[in-house]
Amino acid sequence: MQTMAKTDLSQQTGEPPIVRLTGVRKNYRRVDRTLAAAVDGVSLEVAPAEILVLLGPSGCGKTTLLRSIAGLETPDDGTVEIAGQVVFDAARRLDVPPEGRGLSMMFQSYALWPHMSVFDNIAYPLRSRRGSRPGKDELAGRVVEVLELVGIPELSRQFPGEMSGGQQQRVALARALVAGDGLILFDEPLSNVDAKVRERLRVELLAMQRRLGFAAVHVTHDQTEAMELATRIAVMRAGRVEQLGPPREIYDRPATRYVAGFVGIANEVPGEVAGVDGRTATVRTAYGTLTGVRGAGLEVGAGAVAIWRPEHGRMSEDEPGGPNRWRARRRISMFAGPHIEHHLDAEGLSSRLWSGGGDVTADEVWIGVDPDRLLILPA
Amino acid sequence: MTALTRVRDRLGALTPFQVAGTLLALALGALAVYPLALVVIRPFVTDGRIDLAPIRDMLAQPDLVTLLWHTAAVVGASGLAGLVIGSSLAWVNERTDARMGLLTDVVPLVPFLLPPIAGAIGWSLLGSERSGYLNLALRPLLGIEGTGPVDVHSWYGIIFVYTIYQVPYVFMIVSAGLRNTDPALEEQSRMSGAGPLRTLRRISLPAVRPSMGAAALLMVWTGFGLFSIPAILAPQAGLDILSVRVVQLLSFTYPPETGVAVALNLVVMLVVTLVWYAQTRMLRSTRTAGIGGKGARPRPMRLGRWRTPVRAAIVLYLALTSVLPLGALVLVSLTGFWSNTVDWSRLNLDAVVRTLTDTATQEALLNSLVLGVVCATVGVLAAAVVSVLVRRSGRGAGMLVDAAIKFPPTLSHLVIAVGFVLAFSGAPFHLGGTLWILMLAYISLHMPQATTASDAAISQVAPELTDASRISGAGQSRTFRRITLPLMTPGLLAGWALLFVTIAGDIGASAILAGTGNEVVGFRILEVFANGDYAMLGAISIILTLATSLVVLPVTWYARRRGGSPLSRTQP
Repeated sequence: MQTMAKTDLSQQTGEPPIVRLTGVRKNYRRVDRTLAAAVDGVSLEVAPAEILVLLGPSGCGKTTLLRSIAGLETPDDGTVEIAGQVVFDAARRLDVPPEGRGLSMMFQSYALWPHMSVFDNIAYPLRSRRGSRPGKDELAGRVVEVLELVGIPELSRQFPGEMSGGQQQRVALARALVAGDGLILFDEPLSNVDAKVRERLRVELLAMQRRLGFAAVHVTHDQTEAMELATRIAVMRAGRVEQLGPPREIYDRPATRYVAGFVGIANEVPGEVAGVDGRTATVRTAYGTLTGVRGAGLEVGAGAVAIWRPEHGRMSEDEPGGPNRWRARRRISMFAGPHIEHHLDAEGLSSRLWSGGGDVTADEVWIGVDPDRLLILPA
Repeated sequence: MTALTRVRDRLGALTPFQVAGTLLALALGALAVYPLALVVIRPFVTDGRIDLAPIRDMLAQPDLVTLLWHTAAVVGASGLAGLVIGSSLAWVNERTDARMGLLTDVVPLVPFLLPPIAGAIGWSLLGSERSGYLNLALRPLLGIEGTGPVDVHSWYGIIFVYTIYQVPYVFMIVSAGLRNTDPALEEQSRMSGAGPLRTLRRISLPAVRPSMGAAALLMVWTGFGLFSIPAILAPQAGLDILSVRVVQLLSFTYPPETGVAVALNLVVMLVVTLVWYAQTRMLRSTRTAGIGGKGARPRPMRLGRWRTPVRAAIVLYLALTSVLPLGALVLVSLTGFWSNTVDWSRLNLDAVVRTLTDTATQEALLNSLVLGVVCATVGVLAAAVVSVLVRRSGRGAGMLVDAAIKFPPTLSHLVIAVGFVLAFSGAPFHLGGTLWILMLAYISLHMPQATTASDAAISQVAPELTDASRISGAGQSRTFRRITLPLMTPGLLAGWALLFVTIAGDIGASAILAGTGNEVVGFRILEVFANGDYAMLGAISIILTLATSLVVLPVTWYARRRGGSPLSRTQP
C-alpha cells in the first residue's frame, strides 16, 4: 500500500531522476598511445526506486561508467547529476569527490577493511559522513538493524578474514545499506560466490530494494542476473548504450542483432528484405520467404536476419499451417529438466529449439514460428 | 544530500590532505636538496662559471679503475649473497615447518642491532690473522702454528661482514611481502605437481618481487654508503673502497678535495638511479600486484628429512653472525684490553663500570636513543604520506618529489653532512652544535629507507579499500588515518625499526655534525676508537645493542604479529 502510494507520487509530481548522465565520455590511452573511448558519450537517467542494470561483456565500459557516477573516475566530458545536484561538469571543471556525493557502493571484491571488525566496517559510513553524526546508541542500533536485515546478526564481532565469501558479501551489502542513501551502486557484487548463494542473494537483494526503496545502478555481465533484478536494462557495447528498456522489451524486442545475441539465445536466419509493410516485414531466406515483426532500419533489398528464440519454435512431424515453416533434421535432443533442447540442422544452418515433451520421434521434422515471434533485424 | 550542497571542490583544486602532503613532500625535498646543492655545486662553479675540473681530477685519480672495481665487487657480491640468504631465511620462517618461533622471527635482525662499527670491530677482534679470538681458538684444534686459519682482512672477509649487514634488510622486507601474499598461490602450485623448490622459484619468489626490488635498492644504497666496516677492515686487505676514499679526501687531505669526493659520489648516484628506476618499474607492473587472499593462515610446508639440516644451518648462521661478534666485544670489555692470550681468571667489570659512569657516554646514549625515536617516527609518518600521494599522482610531479627525497642521500653521508654544516650551522639558523641539526640531517638522510619501506607497504593495500572509504563519506585525510595507515602499519613498523637502529647507531653524519655540545653514540665511539680503548668500545657497543634491542624487539614482534594474523590481510 505504502510503496504503491510512493510510486504514484513520484510519477505524478515528476520527481527529478536520482541520476542523470549527459554525454559522459571517458578516454583512455592504449598501449600504442592512441586514444580510445571507454565510455563514449553516454546519456541516461535513473528514476527513484529503480534498479538500472548496466549489462555487457567485459571491456564494454560499464564499470568505468559506474565509477564515473561514484566519482572514482573523472570523465573527460559530460555532466553527472545526482538527486538534482550537478556533481560533475567537465565544462565548468566541477568535480565533487566521492565522499561528497551521498551514495553507497558495493564492490566486486567486497573491499572489506581487514583491520576492522564487522561492526566497525558497517559503522564506518555512519561515522564518516559529514554533518549528522549519530550518537553511540543510535549508531549501534542502526548497525544491528542492518546486520539483522542481511541475516548475520551474530557476526558483528568477527573480522572479515575469519568469514566465508558469502558472509563477507553480506557484510559488504550491509555496509552499502547502512547509510540509507537513495542511491546504491553495485559493481558485479554477486560474481564471486557459487550459483546457489548467488540466486538466494539476488532474491534477498530485490526484496530489500522493494522494502527500502533505494535506487540502484547495478553492473553485471550475467544476463540472467540482469533480467531478474532490473527495472530497466542498459545493454552496453564498446562504450555506448546499445539499447535501454525493461527486461521484457530487451528480451522480446531486441533492437539489434548484438542485443538479441547477448540477452538469451537467438537463432538467426540470414536473408534479404523482400518487403516492409507497417509493423511487419518479409525476408527471403534459405527457408523460403519468412514474415515477422519489423525492426528499425530495414531497407528492401538490403541484408537482414530473421531471429527467433528457442522456446518460440514449434516442432511437428506433419506440416503445420502459417507463413513461417521449414523442414529440419533433428541432430540431438537433450533433457534439461523444465524443457527438452533439440539441436536442428536445416539448409546448412544450425538452430536450437525447446519443447515441453518428447512427443516427436522422427528425425525429419517440421519447424514453425509464429510471425509475432519472429523478429526481422538489419544484418 | 547535505554534503552535496557543499559543492566546493573543483577540478584541479587540491584537498586539504593534498595541500598538507604536498607541502610536507616539498619541505622534505628542500631539506634534502638545499644542503646538497651547497656542497655539490660549489666545487663545480668557479667565478660564476661552470667548471668541470673536479670530474677531470676524479678521472685523473691513478687508481680509479681499481677503486671502482673493488667497491662494485664488494657491494655486488655481498648484495647477491644477502639477497639469497635473506630471502631464504624469510621463506623458511614464513612458509616452512623449520621455523623456530621467536628465534627465527627476530634473531636474523640482531646484526642490525649491532652498529656496523661495533660489528666491524667485533669481527676484527675475532678474525684478525694473528690474534683474532677465532684464530686463537681454532689453531689448537686444527694444529696450525703462527697465523690463520681465518683472515677477516681479506676479500672474503670483507664481503662476509658486508653480507651480514645486508641480510636483515632483505629478511625484513621479504618477510613482510610473503606475509601479504596469498598462500593459495603456493598451494595451487603444489597441487599442480610442483615440488617445494619449484614452487619457491616459480611462484613465491615472483610474488615477492616488489619486496625483493625494494630490498635490492636499499642494499645498493647502504652498501655504497657503509663506511665503518671498510674503514676498519679494508686497508689491511689491500682493498680500495669508495666510502673510505671519500673520507680521506674530505678529512685527511689538506686542503680537502671536496670536488673529487663529490664527483666520486656522482658515480654511486648513477648506479643507485639505475636500481631505483628498475625498482619503480617493478612496483608499477601489474603482474606483481595480484596479491589476493581470503584470510586463511598459511599451513607451513613440511620439509621432511630436510627440516633438521635446514634448522641446523639457520642456528649456525645466527650463531656466526650474532653470538660471535657480540661475544668478542663482551670478552674484550671483560678482559680490559685485546691481547694474544685470554686470562680467564682475571675477567672483570671495570671497563663496563667505567663506561656506565662516564657522563659523556651517558649523555651520548640518551641523545642517540631520543633522536632515534623522534626521527624514526617523523620520518616514517612523512614517508607514508608521500608514498600515498606519489601513488595517487602517478608519473610527473609525484615522481619528481619522490626522486628529490630519495636521491640526495645516495651521496655519501659525510658529503651531505658537510652540506648541513654549510646550510644550517651559521646564520640565519644557528643550529650548529645542537641536537636540531642532527635531527634534520638524520631525517633527511634516512628518507630513502623510510620511503622504500612505505612504498612497499602501500603497494600491498588494494586501491578498492580506499575507494570504499571515500564512497562511505570519508575524505582523504580520514581515509588515510583510518584505512591506509592502519593497513600499512606492519610494513611501516618494520621501516621504523630500521630507521631507529640506523639513526641510534649512526656514525657517518654524526662524525661531522656532533660534538661535545650534542654528543651522540656514534661520535663517542669514534672518540674512544681514536684512543684505542677496545674495552670501553666493547662496553659501549654492548650497552647500545641492549638498549636498541629493548626498543626494537617489542616493535618488531608486534609488527610481525599484526602482519601474521588473518586480521591484517590487506585484501579481502
